[in-house]
Amino acid sequence: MTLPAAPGVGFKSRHFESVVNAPGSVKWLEIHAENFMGEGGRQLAQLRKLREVFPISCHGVGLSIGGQAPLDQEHLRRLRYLVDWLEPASFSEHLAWSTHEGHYLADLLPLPYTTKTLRHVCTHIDEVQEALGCPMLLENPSAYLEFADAEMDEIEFLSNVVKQTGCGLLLDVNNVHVSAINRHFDGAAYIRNFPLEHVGEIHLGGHEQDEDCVDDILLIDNHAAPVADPVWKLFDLVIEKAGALPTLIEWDSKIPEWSILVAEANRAAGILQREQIAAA
Amino acid sequence: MFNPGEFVNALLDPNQKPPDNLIIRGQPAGRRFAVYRNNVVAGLSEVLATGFPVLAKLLGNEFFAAMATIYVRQHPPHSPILTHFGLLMPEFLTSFPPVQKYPYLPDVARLELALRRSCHAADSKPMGSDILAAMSEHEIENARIELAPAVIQLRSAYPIHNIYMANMQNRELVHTSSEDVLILRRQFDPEPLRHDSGGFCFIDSIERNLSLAAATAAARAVEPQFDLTKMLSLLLSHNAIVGLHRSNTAHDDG
Repeated sequence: MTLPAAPGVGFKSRHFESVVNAPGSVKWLEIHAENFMGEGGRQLAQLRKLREVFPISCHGVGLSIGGQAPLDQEHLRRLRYLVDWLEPASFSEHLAWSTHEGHYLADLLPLPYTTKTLRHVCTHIDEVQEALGCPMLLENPSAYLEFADAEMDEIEFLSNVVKQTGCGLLLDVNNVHVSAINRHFDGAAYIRNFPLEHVGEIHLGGHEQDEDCVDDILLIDNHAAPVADPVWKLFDLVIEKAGALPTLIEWDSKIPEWSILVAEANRAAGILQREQIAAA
Repeated sequence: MFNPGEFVNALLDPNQKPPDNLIIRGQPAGRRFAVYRNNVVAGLSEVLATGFPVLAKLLGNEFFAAMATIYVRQHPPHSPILTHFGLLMPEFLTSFPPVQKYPYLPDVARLELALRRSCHAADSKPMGSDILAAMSEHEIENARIELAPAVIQLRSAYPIHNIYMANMQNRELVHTSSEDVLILRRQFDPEPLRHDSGGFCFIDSIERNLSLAAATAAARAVEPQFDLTKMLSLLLSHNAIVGLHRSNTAHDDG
């Protein structure tokens, strides 16, 4: 099974009944792998039912692919167990790190783009793909700062990863916008340079503006708001250039009613369908 | 050179300055680094507030959030699975000076951790009451029962069941003596039930694989009124019994 070139949403337990009874334009669901690694309980039971009805995208947040240290083998085994029974249509993770010396920091931390970090990332992706028996998608991060010791830009880095590991990419359009504002680059130019032919999934989420920074705009990627207009505009450009792609509405904090997620999914569906009609 | 150790130290200690190689448009990153500091502490504090709702209510959200920040910096999680994050909260509360006048808080934290453990415990197929109904009293007494993984009991010197329920249901606290708690999970929602010392002793004996007769005798030694039939019907009605092993000999427990 593959993800359809249609809208999906991040699954939250409280939306279970609505997802089943009134999916609207939502054609697939994404889960955070780490929330489904328990032994039992309601969430797992819900997921076992949903996987019969919807293609599922399994999205990891804790592998620390961008870290220097070797991957946590126990975590990789748990992930393989989940992927084995869930049989997701896709597995994706982040170009970021989150663990250090046995501590999990619960955030997606940035790494400098150098030949050394490229080697680490490629080794880790090879290992994940080997363990899971399928290619994975790697997601571009949101950036708040830069590294003085960077040797290449993000697109060059991601292109090298794709070339060396055969993985695909997950293009988070909100992350592009957040990074572009925070680092003063042109988001549309980033999209035009991005290796779109390797993108297997799109993420659209919300961000907020930091109130304390009035002189220097700082956007924070918080997945707690509707997708902003400039992000829709960039999404439009992605779809115009790449054609329709599986597109996720991400909303992980201050979670709204199901109808609001469906409305966001409908807006994405409109853009995807326009492109499908134009291509037909 | 990228040094994740330096990055993490600055992340968890707001008094340390961010690593020098972090910049924004050629200038030191300064408060941009604070975004990561906030994400880590705010994100994990929220996990604690969700995992310890009664503790947060007892202490007030503002105090709890400040305390959670200290906890997170002292005990960052060891695993990306945050389901059981906060395991050291009882010990933390025992030694956290500002809460020393509330000696029952560590037990409240233990109860909330146990409820989470029960919530995520393996699902199991409950045994029907028909199996017991078809057995003679003698056969029942010599059998051993197996409890569902979601069954957990807790002992406390404080009225923690009352404290918990009063806060969950917004009612007044009435009881003041010590209480034990038995957590049962009918399907997915753990229920904390008030438990007496006889019942506690009974469940403890069952978990040590004693027969029903031996467990009943142990329970009656501390609580002469202990009623086996009542206990079995409580366990059966909450889907807490998942297996029954008949004994071959009549008195193999001595």
